[in-house]
Amino acid sequence: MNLLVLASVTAALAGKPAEMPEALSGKWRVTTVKLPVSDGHEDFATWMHREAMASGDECYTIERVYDFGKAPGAEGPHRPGLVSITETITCTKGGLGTYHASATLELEATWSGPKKSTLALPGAEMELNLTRLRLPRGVRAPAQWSAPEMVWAVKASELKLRAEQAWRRAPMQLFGQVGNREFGFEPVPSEEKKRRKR
Amino acid sequence: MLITTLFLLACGPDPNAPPPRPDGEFRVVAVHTSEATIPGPDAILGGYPGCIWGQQSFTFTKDRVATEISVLCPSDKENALACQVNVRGEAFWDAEGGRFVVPNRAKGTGAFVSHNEEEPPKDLAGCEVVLAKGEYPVARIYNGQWKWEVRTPDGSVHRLVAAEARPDFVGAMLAQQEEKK
Repeated sequence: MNLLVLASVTAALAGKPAEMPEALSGKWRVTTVKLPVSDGHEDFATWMHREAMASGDECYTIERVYDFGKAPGAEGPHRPGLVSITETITCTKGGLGTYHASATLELEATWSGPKKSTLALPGAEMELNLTRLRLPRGVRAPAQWSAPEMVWAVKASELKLRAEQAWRRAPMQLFGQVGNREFGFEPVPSEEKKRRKR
Repeated sequence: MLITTLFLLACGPDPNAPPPRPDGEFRVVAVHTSEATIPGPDAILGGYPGCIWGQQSFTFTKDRVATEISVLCPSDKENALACQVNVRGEAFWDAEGGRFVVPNRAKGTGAFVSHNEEEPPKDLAGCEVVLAKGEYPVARIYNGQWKWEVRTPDGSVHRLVAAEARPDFVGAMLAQQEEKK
């Protein structure tokens, strides 16, 4: 009996397919990833940390955020013409301490498919560097510490989005398929919403 | 003699011929807008108040155009932080028109935030660069040495010289100190 109750509660809490939102805006954080070899979704940050450890990188990704821009002024369907994707890494390095580096690529977006749920982005790549210099004392050259170069590349790709909602008033969840990987997204509360909660 | 002269005139370089495709990294030494000509570093520093040195460069290859911005900004009395961001996108060379065509716009923004223990997070540095969509006509000028010009889609003309070295932040800091003396 208990097992039956538990199963029905779990089923009720699990996401149900929902219609893609008419208007897509705001920031959405990648929270989960599902690889072709895994049964279900796993935490995105944990997966990225594990990948970095496996390849011996000194920095690792802690966050990836898609920004679909400001909410449109008028009601009705809306898909942004520009989409930004921000990758944030954390590093600890002598002379710089612990720091987060964020690289944002803002690209032109093309939407297609039913409910305009497929986002196509052109490929682009960026490199980011930080160097700290300390003024020389006397006639010596300045001391310098360089951060490991951060490369953030977005391949020309299509992201097929779908929506899920556990119940009517539950927050909408998005899932996006790129190739054979699926990512789960959750909305990042806007600064205004954060202030209201306080 | 006459035949040689006629041959040279007929076969010499055509002044109206499109320039060859630039290849490699080029530093921006000046930017001409409809209103003024601005030295390259000043064109960058206008967008970074408080910073003491800046540089922009373009890198051209067969199928890519990249642009990079480097800035050096004092963070306190003893330290300065250099932020460098480079964005590159697909492009193709139109040999007849003597221009690169960049089919997609890309903007790269970088930000660094310190997260040391027992201290609140602190912004360290930030910089951004845009690779605009459109045509980049180039011209090659000889005035003692080869110089290049590229017109970016916003209409401004960037005068370029081949970049012989990567941005030298140490040199920039020492030069600033010399100026102060």
